[in-house]
Amino acid sequence: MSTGAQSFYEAAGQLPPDVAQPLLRVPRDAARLVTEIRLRSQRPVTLTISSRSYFLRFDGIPIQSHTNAVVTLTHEQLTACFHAVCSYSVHTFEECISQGFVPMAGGHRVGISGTALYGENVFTVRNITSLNIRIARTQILRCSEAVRQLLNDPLRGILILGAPGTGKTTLLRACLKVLSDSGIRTAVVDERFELAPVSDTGFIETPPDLCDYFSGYPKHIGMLQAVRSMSPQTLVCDEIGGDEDVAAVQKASHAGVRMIATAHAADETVLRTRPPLRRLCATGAFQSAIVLAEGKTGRTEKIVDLDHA
Amino acid sequence: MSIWITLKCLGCILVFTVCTMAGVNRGSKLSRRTVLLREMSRFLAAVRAELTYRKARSRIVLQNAEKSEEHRLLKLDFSGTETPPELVRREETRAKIEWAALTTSEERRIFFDALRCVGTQDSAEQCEQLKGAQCLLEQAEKQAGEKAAEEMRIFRTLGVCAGCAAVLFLL
Repeated sequence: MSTGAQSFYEAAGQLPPDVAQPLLRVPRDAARLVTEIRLRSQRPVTLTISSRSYFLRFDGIPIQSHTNAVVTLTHEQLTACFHAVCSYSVHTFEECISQGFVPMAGGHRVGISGTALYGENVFTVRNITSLNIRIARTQILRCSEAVRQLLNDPLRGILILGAPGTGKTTLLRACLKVLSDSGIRTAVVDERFELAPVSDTGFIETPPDLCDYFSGYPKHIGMLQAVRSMSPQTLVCDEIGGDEDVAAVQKASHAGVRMIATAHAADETVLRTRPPLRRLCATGAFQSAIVLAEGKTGRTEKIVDLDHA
Repeated sequence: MSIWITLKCLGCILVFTVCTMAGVNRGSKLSRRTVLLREMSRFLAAVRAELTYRKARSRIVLQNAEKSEEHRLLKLDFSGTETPPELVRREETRAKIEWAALTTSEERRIFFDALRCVGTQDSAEQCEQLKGAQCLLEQAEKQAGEKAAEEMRIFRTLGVCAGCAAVLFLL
């Protein structure tokens, strides 16, 4: 998996040449900090750096104010970008597109918005008007010693909490490496292909050795399937919170499998106020919560002991 | 004297053969056109089947469709590192030269426009477009087949007649 600026350039390089050129001119120091590339039809390209939006000049310099020198996309250019991020195979990603995202080579994820079309038992999105390329970064993140200790305790289920963009998935990927290095057999439910993107020829980047991936499975189905078929010691799932997920977590923990999951929550107080998360904690599958700091990708703000919270 | 007659006979046979072959050749060109149009529409059908049942990446869809049956005239090659739209463009440029004698520019446009849509929309919409193009090519193939059956006979007969006339004239 590529790191820092390289990861940004890798994602930008997958876009059509006319859009990629100014992005590839972004200086390394700035590229290292970019978390998102936002492309919008008939509007300027913006880069998200430390949660703030910057416009992109033709010479690749990110600026805060909108001037005539910023890169603006036509609708045709945006459509070409959409085809490119889908590897010119929109049909292959139909399921993902209906859920609002496309996995990109290199582990990046592209959020999409456009016009919804409802058919008979079918929901799809056409006429794409915005793309949000979230740059994947793994190896720039190393788990802190406190997180490593938690991961190596087989009896502690861990819930990773953070607002959108705080690096929950990034931390989860780093955790998978630690678990594998510690010899812990892990099953990973990767509904959105974010933790280990796969193509027709296998994994795009080699994942940790001891991890088994259930890619594209709805989370609740994937979790139960994983417990039944791979007998994992630890089960990892990204972004849980639905009622079906809670039931699956309960079943998995009854089967004696340790859970590690992420959930959208700014801090641990939400675990008491938001009903689905309250039910999730009530399953008893999670003993610790790692709360992530805002504006610092995957950085731990605090670790909360849920048994005594 | 006998050498002179022999040479004259040989010349007549040669003229007769050339005229007949010209007629047969013109007729078989029409039949080749029918074969190519049939292969084009079958290729689109194979792409449609790939999109409906496998939904693999566009490059693999095109390569699998290419391998789905033995083609006599439709020689397409979707190997290479280019993106699928670039591969289609490359083959279109090649076809413009190689298929020029057998297909019209409109038929080639229908075929390659349909291939260009592969990977740019969801499978249902792509299949609709492919089906439309396939129907148009099938119609063209049917018309070409009827024309070929009718004109092949005429050209062969004309060839033979021209050969005979030339022989009589020379004798």
